[in-house]
Amino acid sequence: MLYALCFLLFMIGLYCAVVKKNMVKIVIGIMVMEYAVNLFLIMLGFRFDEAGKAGVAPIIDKLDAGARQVFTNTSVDPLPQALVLTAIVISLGSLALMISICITNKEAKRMSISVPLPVFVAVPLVMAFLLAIFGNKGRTAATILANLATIALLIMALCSLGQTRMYLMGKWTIPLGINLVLDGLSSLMLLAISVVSAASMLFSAGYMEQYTAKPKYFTLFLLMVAGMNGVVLSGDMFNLFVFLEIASLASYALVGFGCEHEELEASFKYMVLGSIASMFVLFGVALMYANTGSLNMAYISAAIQSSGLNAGLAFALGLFITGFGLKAALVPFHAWLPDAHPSAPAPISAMLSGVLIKALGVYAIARVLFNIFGVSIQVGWILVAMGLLSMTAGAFLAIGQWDLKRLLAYSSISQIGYVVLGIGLGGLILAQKRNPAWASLAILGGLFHLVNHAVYKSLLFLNSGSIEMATGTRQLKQMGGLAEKMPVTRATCTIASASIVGIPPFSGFWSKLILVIAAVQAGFYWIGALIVFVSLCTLIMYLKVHRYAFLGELPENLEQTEENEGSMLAAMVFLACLCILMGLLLLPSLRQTLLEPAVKVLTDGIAYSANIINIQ
Amino acid sequence: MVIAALIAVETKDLLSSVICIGAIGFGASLMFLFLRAPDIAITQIVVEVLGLIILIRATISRDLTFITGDKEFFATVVSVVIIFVIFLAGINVFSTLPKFGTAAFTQNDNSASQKYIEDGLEDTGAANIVSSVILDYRAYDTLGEATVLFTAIIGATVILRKKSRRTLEI
Amino acid sequence: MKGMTIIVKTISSWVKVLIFLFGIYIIIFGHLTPGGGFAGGVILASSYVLLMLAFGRDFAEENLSLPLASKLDCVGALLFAAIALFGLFFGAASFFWNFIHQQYQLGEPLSLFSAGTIPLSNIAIGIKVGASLFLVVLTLSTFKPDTSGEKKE
Repeated sequence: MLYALCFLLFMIGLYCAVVKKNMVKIVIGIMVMEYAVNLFLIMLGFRFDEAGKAGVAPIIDKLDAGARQVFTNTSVDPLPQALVLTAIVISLGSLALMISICITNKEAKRMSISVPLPVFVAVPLVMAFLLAIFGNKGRTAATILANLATIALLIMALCSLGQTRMYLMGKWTIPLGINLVLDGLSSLMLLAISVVSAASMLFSAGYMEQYTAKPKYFTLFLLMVAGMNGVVLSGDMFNLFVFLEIASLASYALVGFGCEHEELEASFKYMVLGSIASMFVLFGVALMYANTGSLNMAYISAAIQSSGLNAGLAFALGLFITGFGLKAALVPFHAWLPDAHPSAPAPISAMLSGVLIKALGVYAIARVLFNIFGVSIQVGWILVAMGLLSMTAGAFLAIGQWDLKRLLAYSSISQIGYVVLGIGLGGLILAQKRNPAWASLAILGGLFHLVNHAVYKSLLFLNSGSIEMATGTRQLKQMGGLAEKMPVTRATCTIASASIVGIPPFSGFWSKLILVIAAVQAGFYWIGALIVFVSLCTLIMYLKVHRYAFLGELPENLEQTEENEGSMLAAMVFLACLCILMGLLLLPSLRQTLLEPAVKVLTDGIAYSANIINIQ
Repeated sequence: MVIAALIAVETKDLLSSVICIGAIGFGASLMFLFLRAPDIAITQIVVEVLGLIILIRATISRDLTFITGDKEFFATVVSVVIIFVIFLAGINVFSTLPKFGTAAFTQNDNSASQKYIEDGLEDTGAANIVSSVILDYRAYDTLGEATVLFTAIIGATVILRKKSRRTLEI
Repeated sequence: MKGMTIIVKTISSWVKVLIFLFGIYIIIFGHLTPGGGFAGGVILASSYVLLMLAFGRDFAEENLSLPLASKLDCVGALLFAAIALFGLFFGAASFFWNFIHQQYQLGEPLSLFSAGTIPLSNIAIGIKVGASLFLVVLTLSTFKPDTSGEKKE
């Protein structure tokens, strides 16, 4: 069967990308995977007409009624052709980027990958395009414009809290056109994205002085934000994929921004694993289209509800969990994160840890699993298992690290484990048809932890950036006694660490408490105990950070360090205040505007599709 | 095409690999033509040509032609086993797909493609229905795709720049 | 990088113009025949790449320099975004609305002037894709790392 040949090609490409060690070979493997998916999509659209002859291409050349009728009956499907056109161009772009990284990274011909086995949009887009043209005229002008863009996004995100709206692009009703959906979950994510990007952009104004090509940095940064906003607002699966690619490509380039050897190697590894994840997602979308005939999330969900999961859809589900799980750095698929996050410039690490893995990974998993497929008991247990694995493995691996940013990266893996655990627990409870209030509580804990982690992890990365800029090193053993020299950094770092460990009254405490309560209430006592245990490990690792970085003796070569000033301080102080204040989010009035709509979207689950179809 | 893929993956000489990729791409383009997708065939051919130029530029002039060194045996075996398992799981999938030649969109009532074919000319005025889909019905996706290309190119220029860091004037 | 022999140079100077014209044809007729903005843009870029391969990098850079190419790239993208934004101002007030076709119904189907904004978008995309691909091939061929570790451009 011809489809099986496509699948064989896909597997050959996957084998090549995963097993080979030469960089160009790996790129070739990814290209073969792309060919396979494109062929599969076009094959899906092909048809024979009644007489058994092949169909005709979707181009009209005669206008009379008879010819039109024949055309309507025999034309092949134009939609996969449009999708493949898009996919071919995207793959050309990523090929160019991958080859650039290959070329610059000349010393490493071999590399080892240990793979166990892929309005909100327009503002950053237009500003990015404008900056790319005019940016070179003045660095300060570019900085101011970029910061204006992120602050404007923040204001818009605050204004659109708690609303549920749909926007039809080009006035085509779904399923003809693409719709953008703003519901509780999307608005929460938008807020998190804009807060962290505003703070990081402010920080970049000072920090990026040590790099060249600053205007292009802002362009790429804004493109990444545009991509994330597009992912969060999208109501259509292929659209999600396209914006996923925008954000991912921008982040690959930003990770390797410094052009040092280890940064480029980290960027290449990240890019390869990310491209494999994107191929998995594209293949999953193609399978979904094959089985349901639509690309719109609401219609796919309706089709799945009426026909149930067959083998194709179950395989697509597996592909999505793998692909988005890789983007979210859940534990079997986390190999790229400990290299990529430390090598990136500090504000980019803050964005990556703080929002990228959440918007591209966790949000996408939540949206696809809860609203489209519906969480079953097996899927719930898979999520819970991945969450637990990430939580514990991340914590254990972090304790032994001596590089500050690498420690923070492993800690991110652990904290994302909490989030996925909370969401998975909620899904499991819903699937087991027990008390839905417990499920709401678990999901509330997970989502609240997501927002909290965005704030304090980005603050921690910004702190590490400020330390690195002042002292020139990231190794904890080489630091010490920075408490007198850098008081603001120390204060904000303390606040952030207290939050992440879970000390009251900071925000982290509340979200962990909710998670423990939810776990115990639902009868999973061992999960609750594990959460507390991992929090103790987190305490150990952050005590280590403080002991070595801030307390202790000041080494001789660091006598000259002084506090960084200006925009970097402002950004850190802003995030620190948020850490303190976010505990207040549990007050009923704030909770109802911000968190509860998001929770409701997930607990409603597959009712999403009925809501969307009814709105329009 | 599968044979070309296998050669591309296994051969030690990078230039042969790249040429095999060209063969696969050309074969894909022919298949697109057979599958009645002329738009895609044209795009695939030209993108293939340019992609080959980029790849060859990367391989020939940089002395990266040969791969040397050992592969770690255990990691390779584990990866192959996992890929084989995925393959077996996936074979089952294809029994659920409609037979080759009945297009996916005729099986489902909700599909947009039938409306694209029937109303495309009146709604958008374009005779090439694929153009009308990418530039009118789903133009937002095309904006995304143009942005992807833009991002990739800016990323490539950033990575390939002269000096990467500046010393701070303290 | 250096160019090639005199035979290649002579022939490519004729062929390049043909390729460029063919690219423009594919772009403009994109709504009637297969092709469209992307394929046409790639063909445009290849005509310049042919120039670069045959005559050497410096000659091609004189014809279409790096800053100009990158500005054209951005201009093309902005043009596409602008066409989208114009949809806001006419009638239905939505992004990407095909305002020329829906409101004014200019032109007959199957002729060159039809389909509203679609040919305009094709042209914008063609400019963008052509410029950016030429830019990337130029940058890739320019890059020469020194053995001393300092990168020269």
